[in-house]
Amino acid sequence: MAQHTSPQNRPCPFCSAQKADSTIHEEILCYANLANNTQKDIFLMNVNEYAEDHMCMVEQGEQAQVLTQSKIKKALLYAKALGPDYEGLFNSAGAATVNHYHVPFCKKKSPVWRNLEEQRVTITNAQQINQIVHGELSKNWVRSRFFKGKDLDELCKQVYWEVKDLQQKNIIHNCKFIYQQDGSFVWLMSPRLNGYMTYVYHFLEPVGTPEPGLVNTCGSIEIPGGDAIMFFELPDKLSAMQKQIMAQRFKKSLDKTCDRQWQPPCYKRYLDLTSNTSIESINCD
Amino acid sequence: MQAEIIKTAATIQTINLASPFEPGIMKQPLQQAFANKRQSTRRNGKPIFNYHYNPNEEVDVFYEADQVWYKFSFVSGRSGYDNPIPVEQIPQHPP
Repeated sequence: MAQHTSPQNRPCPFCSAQKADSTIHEEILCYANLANNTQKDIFLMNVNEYAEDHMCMVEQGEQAQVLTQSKIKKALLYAKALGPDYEGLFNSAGAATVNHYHVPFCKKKSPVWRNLEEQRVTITNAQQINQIVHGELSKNWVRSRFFKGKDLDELCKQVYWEVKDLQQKNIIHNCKFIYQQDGSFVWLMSPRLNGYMTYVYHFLEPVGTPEPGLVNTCGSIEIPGGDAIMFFELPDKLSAMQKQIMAQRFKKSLDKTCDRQWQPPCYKRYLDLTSNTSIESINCD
Repeated sequence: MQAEIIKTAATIQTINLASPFEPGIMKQPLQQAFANKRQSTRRNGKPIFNYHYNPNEEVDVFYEADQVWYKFSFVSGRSGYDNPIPVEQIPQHPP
């Protein structure tokens, strides 16, 4: 299981934020806590924002970047508190830059939501268990598990049922989630082969340019959202053809990083559970 | 129930979310906090934000081959690593 670590031998920025005399402490937007929580969470602004209202919920203390059922619930409750205009994301250890528990939020603009609304991406192998719909996004999108329902506790149990399997198998995962106007929550989760950072300059290079064998932080790809973050200026001219090439290369990068082999744990075993049984104690072998 | 907003000039506000709470209740105080940060400076007098999000630097692309939308956000002012990493050296598992 991943532990709390400081990035690249630097002090952990999210631990530093808890110290009143630190520079990062000046980036705190507010503290927040839920009714049943005794410890306040920190909402930090992203000083290198690449989305509207780009902020980050950080738990106090030294917390590893690992989801639990209660952390999933907390993330979704904060999504509800921010409202349906916002989305949250979670990058597990191995994909996150900092291994201190944090959940970024920003205005809801990831194209995956639009694709779902316009039914360009659909839900395949859909099942409904205890009023929660789960399945997978269709194959014209990056592989992503899909969960939707209004019963928050039940949804969190079902999401964690799969998260725990990914954690046990050391599979990196990225998640996006929203609260919807109708009172339902949606959680998307993509298993990844690695924390692949693509060399995004390549997206803009002419047709026929060999794919580079190097990666760096000149950009980032967000799955399952379908966002490419390019850390350089928008070129003056982007022809329609160049946009299609960008998208084609982006799609290839998404495919390279996603794990299509992992199989979610059996739901038959999940259904065998009673309310008195902890899913921590169930082995799905 | 309403969120309780505790705000003083010297301290950072705290939002206590009672249960149940109204959806979107954190939106306004957080947007206000963002606005305040944009107008304020650090203790050393420098701006807090390194650069600002600009919606004009986002490009939505409809990828015809798959009939789906992607989004490309161009964020200038943030440089990459000086020494790119060979793909084969990327860790395959979480630490």
